Formats: sequence, structure tokens, C-alpha cells
Amino acid sequence: MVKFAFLVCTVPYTFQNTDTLYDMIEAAYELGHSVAGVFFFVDGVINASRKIKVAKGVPNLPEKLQKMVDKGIRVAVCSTCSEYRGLEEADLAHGVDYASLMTFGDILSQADKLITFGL
Amino acid sequence: MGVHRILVVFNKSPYGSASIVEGIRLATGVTVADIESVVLFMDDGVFALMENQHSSSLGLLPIGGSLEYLIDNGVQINVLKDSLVSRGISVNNLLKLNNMKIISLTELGTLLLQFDVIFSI
Repeated sequence: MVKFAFLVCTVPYTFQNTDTLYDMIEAAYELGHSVAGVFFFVDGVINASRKIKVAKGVPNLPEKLQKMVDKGIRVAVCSTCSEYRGLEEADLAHGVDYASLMTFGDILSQADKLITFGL
Repeated sequence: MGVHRILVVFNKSPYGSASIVEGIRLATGVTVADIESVVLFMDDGVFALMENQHSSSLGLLPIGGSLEYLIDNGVQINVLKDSLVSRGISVNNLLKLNNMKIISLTELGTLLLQFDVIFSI
């Protein structure tokens, strides 16, 4: 069984990457794999905003994020990238860590494979 | 188990995006978690290594300062020779950095085999 880490650098809704991320995690668990953590980096930090309002007819990505957190998956954002984008700790979805790159390193050190959704 | 060695690939030019600066932050940041980090500049990424960059008109610091972080953290810097040649860049025009090694495509092949994770952002 494989333990995955995910690095996400893109915003939700502009790109399909976040949708794919959640689908991949679901598929990984169905196959008996696990997840060391998800790290939102650069523009990817927007994924963790609790202020996202979901329109009708589009995927509810905040709900999917919450399910992931509720499942016990470690989810963190880069705090420096967040500050650059006006995202404060209080703006984050419940259970998401306002973290540093050391956290990403820690997630990596517990993973077998890294999957990156880059810029 | 676990990722112990990563290669961060820089293949985009500096200043046009945050890719190189953020990649450098990432490559140095993970070393705190005892992960060995190595970087590779190739394709348009080699422009980041040119000396005499004057980025103040962009309101940005020259990328050379960020590169110093790599050196301070013991990160090996590799540069693909073919990318320099194809862009008409001489090694003499590059920043003089410790830990910097110019490598051939053959050496790149060997390098790639040494990492648990290889990625670019």
C-alpha cells in the first residue's frame, strides 16, 4: 500500500486540479492506500479559504475539502503564500493548518509518493 | 519509507511568474525537515542564473539573493549545459555561485535516478 503526499499550486475553479485532487484521494482510499497530507502552496492556498461561495451547477469544492479534513487527512497551507494573497488564518476552512514549508517537508518525509499539481 | 531526497526543477524564466522564487523557498524550506534537496535549472530556467540582472524596475529584488538561500542551506545547484548552449549563454555570463555544477544530458540521466521525488512548480 502506498502513502501519498499532494502539493497543489493552483486555484480552484480556474483549473480542474482541485477536483482531480479530491477524486484521486477518494480513489486512493478505495484501493486501500493512504494520504500523508495535502499542502496548498502559492496560488493553491485559495483552496483552503472558508469564504468560497459555491454557485449552482459547479462542484462543491469546500465541501469536499471538509470531508477530507473530517476523514483525518492532514491539510496545510503555506502561511507566507497566504499572506501575499490576503488570506489570514481566520479565513481558513476548519481543520486546515496555517503552516510553513517545514510542514510540507514533514508531510513529504512520511510519504512514499508525491503528486504535484504545479503552476 | 518516506521521501528523503528531492530534485526541484526550474524550467521557467524568472520574474514572469513566481515559479522560481517559490521553488527556491520550497527547496530550502524542506531541508529543515531533514530532506536533502537538490535543484536543476534547465530550459528557460537558466535565465535566472545570469549575472547583471537589474530587476528594480519591476519592484523586485534580483533573483541572485534568493539563490544565496540555496547555497546557505547546502543545496546543490545543477545547470543543464544544453539549455545554456541553445540560448547562447556562456558559462562566463552566469552568476558565480558555490555549489553550482554544469551538467550534460548524460549526467542529467544519471542525476535523475538519485531522487525519491522530482518535480517543478
